[in-house]
Amino acid sequence: MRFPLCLLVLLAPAVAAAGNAYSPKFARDELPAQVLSFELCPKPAYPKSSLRNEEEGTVTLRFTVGANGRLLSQQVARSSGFRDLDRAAQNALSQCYFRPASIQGRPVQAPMDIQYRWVID
Amino acid sequence: MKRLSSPLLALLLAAAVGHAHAALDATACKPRYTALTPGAIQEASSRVAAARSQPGEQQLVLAAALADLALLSARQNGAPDIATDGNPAPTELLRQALAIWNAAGPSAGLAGTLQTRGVAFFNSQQCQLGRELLESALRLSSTAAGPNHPASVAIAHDLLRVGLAQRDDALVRRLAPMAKASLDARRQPLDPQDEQTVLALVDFFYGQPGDRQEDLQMAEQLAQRGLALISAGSASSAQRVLSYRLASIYYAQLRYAEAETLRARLDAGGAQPSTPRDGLLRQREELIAVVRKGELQAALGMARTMVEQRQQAFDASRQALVQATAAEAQTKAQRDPAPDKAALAQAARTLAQARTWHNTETFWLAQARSYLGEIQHALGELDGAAAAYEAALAGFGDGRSGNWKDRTRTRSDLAILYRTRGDAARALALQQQVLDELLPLLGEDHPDVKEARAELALLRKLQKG
Repeated sequence: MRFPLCLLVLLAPAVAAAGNAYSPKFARDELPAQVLSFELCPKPAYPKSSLRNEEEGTVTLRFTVGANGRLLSQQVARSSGFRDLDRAAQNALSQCYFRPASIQGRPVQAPMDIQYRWVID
Repeated sequence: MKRLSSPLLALLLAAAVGHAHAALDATACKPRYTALTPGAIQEASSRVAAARSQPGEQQLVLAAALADLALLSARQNGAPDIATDGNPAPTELLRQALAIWNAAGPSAGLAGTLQTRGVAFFNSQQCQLGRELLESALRLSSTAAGPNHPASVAIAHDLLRVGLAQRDDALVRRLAPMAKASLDARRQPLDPQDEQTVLALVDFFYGQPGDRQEDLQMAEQLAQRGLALISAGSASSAQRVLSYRLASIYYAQLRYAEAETLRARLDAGGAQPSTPRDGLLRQREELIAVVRKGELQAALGMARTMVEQRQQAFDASRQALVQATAAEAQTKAQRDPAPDKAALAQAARTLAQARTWHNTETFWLAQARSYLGEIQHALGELDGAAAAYEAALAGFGDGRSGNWKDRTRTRSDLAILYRTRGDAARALALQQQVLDELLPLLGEDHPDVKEARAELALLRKLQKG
């Protein structure tokens, strides 16, 4: 009689795992990657050529931050329309320090978007 | 007057600019032209000529005159290896001066003289010449008084600053243990120059490639010690910056909990600007709290209310968009009198604002629907969940927008739901899309990527079976 009892005990977790147990993912403990502090970021300087040509625009940059808080890659997600403005924002913001994203208290790799708007007035 | 601004960063960056405690000036070692008092070079040349005519003990006077001329020439030329006014290049002048000083025999006094001159060269952006003087000063002081004598340590500190400014890894690594030992022994608070040196040293070791444990450990120890010595002036911005650096070091060491504790303490000190999204975020946080408590029925009611509210806002934004589109078309079509530029621009601006508002509301409605779907899914209301997920996905749009997170999560949810219903083919197609989108963004080790892979494996198995 001992065998069926053991089998039941062993099977119980397996059955639960294979069943339809679903818990809402949006409620899991999750934090996005972000700039650790803008105090540590150099301020993007308006490129001289862009000032001369009166270039303005908004650039969206996508940074991928590793689980160790290091910047793994960066790209222009949406250009301002001016290469110098995009590059200047990229140069400055890539020198920021980052906090990695986390899930259930464990750091994970994740992308983050930063928007920078260049305006002359 | 030109002013730069950024809607997202301006506030935070503005705070940062005033207090930024940058590492040593990266331009410090780029020699540049400096205007001199007319006749300064000629006067210095005359002093060299006069000293050359003096014998014996006066050799030290000649060395001093050569070094003065070297500094003036370097500042005027903007470069250390260009000869002007009939004089040798500054590098050669300094070489002659150093030959005299080195031959004079070691003494603490001479080392001090060379240190002062080395710092003067460094402060004039002549790093290489300053470095040669400081190297000689350190050698003389170490021989005369010992390498651990405070005078030798002070010279080594100046040399370290040059190494940091020159980004000379070998020099910094050679002197860093001494700098750390002197920090450990130090009792008085750091002055602003020392704070800057500690920050630059911390950055140097944190910034080394490969996240080597010994580099990160050195960065951590320097930051800890620096913080202990800054604490006396607790309002110091250097303390905040160094603390954030320490948090970054903890992240790099994968000491996530310690980093988070430190970060939370630092962030608590700064005011968080409130945004129009605050109300929505609070609503979301409340919903999350209820779900986490396991009160799914209560959460279901909250999510339905949320969807209704978002639907109303969505309807209002759609109406505004329709009106703005019609108004713009009407303005463009207007004749007798034709619309002026300002009227056309205003109509276009209003339309753009309406479009932005509508896009935002479209996203928020989709997000609320995805939350509702997940709660229904968890409660086993699969038909309702599927409808909510499908509506949400229609709202999230294609892969080009920035909503990848909500979109992939909802797709994955729907794939799991399809699998539960036995529709492996549809589930497989959706789950593959999830993996294709997530993998380049999150990497192989991310739990969501692993889950997508596991789901795909299971689905393939189900299809075969």
